[in-house]
This record gives sequence, structure tokens and C-alpha cells, in this order.
Amino acid sequence: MDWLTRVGPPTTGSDVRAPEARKGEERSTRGVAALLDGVHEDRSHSVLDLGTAAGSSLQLYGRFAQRVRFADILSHVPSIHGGPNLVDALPPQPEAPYDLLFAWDILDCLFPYERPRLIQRLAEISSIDARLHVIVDTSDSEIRQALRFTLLASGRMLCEPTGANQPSRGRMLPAEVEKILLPFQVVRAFTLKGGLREYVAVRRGAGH
Amino acid sequence: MWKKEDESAQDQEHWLERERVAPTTTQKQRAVIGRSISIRGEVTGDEDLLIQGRVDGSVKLKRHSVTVGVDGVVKASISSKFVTVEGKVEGNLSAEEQIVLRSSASVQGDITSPRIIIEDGARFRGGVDMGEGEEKGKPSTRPAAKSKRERKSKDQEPEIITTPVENGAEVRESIEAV
Repeated sequence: MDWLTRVGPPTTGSDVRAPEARKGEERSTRGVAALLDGVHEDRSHSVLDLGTAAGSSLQLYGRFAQRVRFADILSHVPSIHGGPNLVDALPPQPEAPYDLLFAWDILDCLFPYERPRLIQRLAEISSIDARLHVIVDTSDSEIRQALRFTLLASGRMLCEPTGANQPSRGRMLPAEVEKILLPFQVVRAFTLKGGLREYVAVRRGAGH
Repeated sequence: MWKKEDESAQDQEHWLERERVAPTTTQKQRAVIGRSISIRGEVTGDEDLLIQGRVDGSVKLKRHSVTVGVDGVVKASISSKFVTVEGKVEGNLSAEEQIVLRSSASVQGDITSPRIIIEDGARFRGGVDMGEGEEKGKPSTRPAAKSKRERKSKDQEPEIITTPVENGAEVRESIEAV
């Protein structure tokens, strides 16, 4: 019976533990650095941030854009997790299409059927060659923690847990992410410590 | 001795508070819409204004400052020289000089000003226009410039390469196309 001691008790569904609570931590973001690489700091661009507004993020965006929109999708429409109000939470048609889009980890917060709708909307309101930044949790955990991302510089961000844990909506593999993001085409991807993966995608027109 | 120090500290706090509430204006008098006051319509005038009550409609104080206090609830557009928000606003904000959203602020609407400060904790949903007004500088809608690397990638299909994990490093793995 020695093997039983070595192997330990069987695990059940209830034994699955939530991931270790992440504290707010500053970390590098090569994805954002890649997204902003080569973008002229002439404030001629337009930025859409689907996350929470933050002064330091605005300061960074202000180097590239005169117009910035913080959609704060998740916190303003709690019922988004139920699905039907996603469309209401999406940003309205802008005067000028967005060139730089930051979706952070919003795909992870949506049900699988909602993800293509979000990307479709982003495609509708973005310019040709617009750049999109997305973060996806690649861990196997059944529980995910809602995170808030604040940009501190083009290659640095603050990642903070914002509250209650949510059940995972299902892990997205790289191929699946690439498919969901169409017509944005993934050009770069980075995996960060903690199981987060950053994707940088560029919107391709019909001719590409 | 202790009392004097206390008074001095209180005094300092008082002035800091005044500075905090109206950082850009002089210490002159300003009009106050008190907590129990509710106004529906257009508010105009020629002096600074502190809103602690409720305003539905519009607030236009072109050459002065408007402060929405912690208890203020405004469902109106605000147009002023300086705007500071500590309470709740649902509507567009426009300031010739500066807009400040304090940590207690909750704003839903578009804000336009050459200088915008959003403190940690402030809730904001909407558009930001940091231009100098429509007349002075209309923003262009040029698409994002492409890096050399991306220009090169335009003709290539993205290629996913998996690299080994480096333990301990913050960026443990890098999968790059192009």
C-alpha cells in the first residue's frame, strides 16, 4: 500500500483550488511595447481602451493620440456576464476609426459565443491596419481572477486584481485566439509569468 | 504648545483642502449649490461654482471654475475654464484649461480639455479629447504608422515559433511571428 501514500488522495472537482490570488504587481509588457513600436508620437492617432480608465494610461496614450476612449465595458454592465447586454456595452461608432485598441483580458470574461461579436464590433470601428492588444489567461485553472491593467510606460504595466473570482470561460489556445481575432491577424505573441499571454494583432483589409 | 501645533496643522490642512478643491482659481468667493438644492435647467454666471447638490441641464461658466463636490450629482454638460469632479457626473465636460477627476469621481460622458488628470480610483467611461478645441486643431484620422518589422510582415503569413521556457524570467517565453 506504499503506492497509495506516495500518490496521495484522489482529486475531485471540489478539490480544484482557485489560483493563488495575484497581488497588484508591476510587470513588463512586451505586447504593448510591440504594439506601439513605430507609431509616431504625433498625436494623430485614436485610441480605444476597453478597460478601466487610468491617469497613467491616458498619459501614455496622449503621446500618440489626441482622442482616447475608455469603454470600461465590464464594470459598467455587470450583466455582461449573462450575455444579452454585450451589444449595449460596446463602444459607439466614433467620429474617426480607432487606430490602437487595447482589449486587455476582456475575451476571457466573455462567453465563447460573445467573443466573435466583440471582435466584429472592434473591426467595424477601427481603421485599416489598426493594431489590437489582447491578453489571454492560458492557465488550466477553473477559476479566474478579474484583473485591471494600467499602463505605466510603453513596456510596463500594473496588473491588479479587481475583486471576485469568476469561473473560467474556457481556456483559449493560440490557434483559437487567432481564429477569434479575425479580421485582426496575430503578428506577435508573448507569454508572461503567471500564465498570461499577450497577442498583438493587426487588422487586415480585404486585399491582404 | 501642543494646541498651537494642532491649530497650525489644522490651518495647513484647511488651506490644502481649499487648494485641493479649487487648485487653479484664486481664493475668492464662489457660489455654492448646497446639498439640499436641486436645479433643473441652465446654470450660467460670472463666478466660480461648487456643486454639492443636484443639477440637471447644463452649466456654463466660461471664464471660471466649476467643482462638483463629493456629494454633487450632475446630469448635465459642464462648460468652463477649469472643471474638478469629486462626485458624480453624467454628461459631457469641456474646459479651456484643465479637467481633474479626483479619486472619488464617477464620470460618464465625453471630456474635452488640453489638460486632463485622472486620479487613481476615479471611475470614468467615455471619450477624451485632449485637443485645443475643434477650431484650433482638428485631429487627423491617419491610421497608425507601421514599423519596419510590420511593413516587412505585411507580405508574409505569420509564423508561430515556440521557444523553450526560461525559468525565473518575467517573460518566460516569446512566440513571435515576422
